[in-house]
Amino acid sequence: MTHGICRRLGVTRLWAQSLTGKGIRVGIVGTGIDLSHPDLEGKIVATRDFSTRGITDYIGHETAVASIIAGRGAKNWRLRGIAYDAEVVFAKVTQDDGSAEEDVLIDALEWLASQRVHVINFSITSDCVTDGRDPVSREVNYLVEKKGIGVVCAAGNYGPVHYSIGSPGAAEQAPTLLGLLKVRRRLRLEDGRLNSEEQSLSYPARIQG
Amino acid sequence: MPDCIYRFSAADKSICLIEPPHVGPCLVKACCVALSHDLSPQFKPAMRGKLKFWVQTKDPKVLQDSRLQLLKNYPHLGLAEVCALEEDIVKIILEKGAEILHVSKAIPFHTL
Repeated sequence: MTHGICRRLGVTRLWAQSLTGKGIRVGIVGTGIDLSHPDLEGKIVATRDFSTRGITDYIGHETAVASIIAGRGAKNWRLRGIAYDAEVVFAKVTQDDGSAEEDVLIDALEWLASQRVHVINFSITSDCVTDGRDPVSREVNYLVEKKGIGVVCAAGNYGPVHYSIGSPGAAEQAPTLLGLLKVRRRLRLEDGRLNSEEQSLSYPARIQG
Repeated sequence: MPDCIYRFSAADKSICLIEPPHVGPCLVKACCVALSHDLSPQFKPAMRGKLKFWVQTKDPKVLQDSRLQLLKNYPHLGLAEVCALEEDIVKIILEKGAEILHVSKAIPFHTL
């Protein structure tokens, strides 16, 4: 996460109030984790593999997510995570192709709850839309209502159209990250030239629940 | 993409299909026909092989039906995960509808 984006999202104002994630334990459900990533050194307090494929992140998705959330900015402090002082607990749920099954996801969420996480990031979604009564959405509602854990869910990559939000983004109690922010930024190349690049970044454009 | 999710409503004894928009309305019609005790040939192609389902029931004895293989029970969610033929699920709904509060087909997830 670049410093400029954090500033644009208002995160730097939180940092100025010493809200850096210190004392917060974040649970992440996903594709695995690169335990040797310098940005995550000292951050990961527990991991568990529910996929039977090993904790290694063959896709890279959740290593990136963990860095965005709690990365130390090891090589450049301007690239540190939003809650750079937070701890991370990680549950791997996906197969090598990035797919996962509902019972595995529920078991992973239950385990994260047992690890006393304060908030859970869920960047996986169902292949079809739901009305928020499916099992994983029910589990998310249960964790929020009964255990007081915040669960933040991705809305998917198919909107904004009707019936584009899958599970557990459709859960009644889950804030859902929607929307894409197109950012045009200028990069300085190694030879000193400037290059424009357009990036798509998720941001909380709308909160459900 | 999977074909559909369907839900059984104990309130009005109907099956509600929640499905990707590209899946045709034929499945809706087929499920309705199946519920009216007349399993439609249209419905049968979707009934091949055993699939995972989620069942919410008022009576735990429903889960002891020999046509269901109980995989996992989640008491805190009021749900059980079972493995069964889709055709048998529909028959069990028809036979024990009053005891069954909710049935849905297990759906796959993927990384965004």
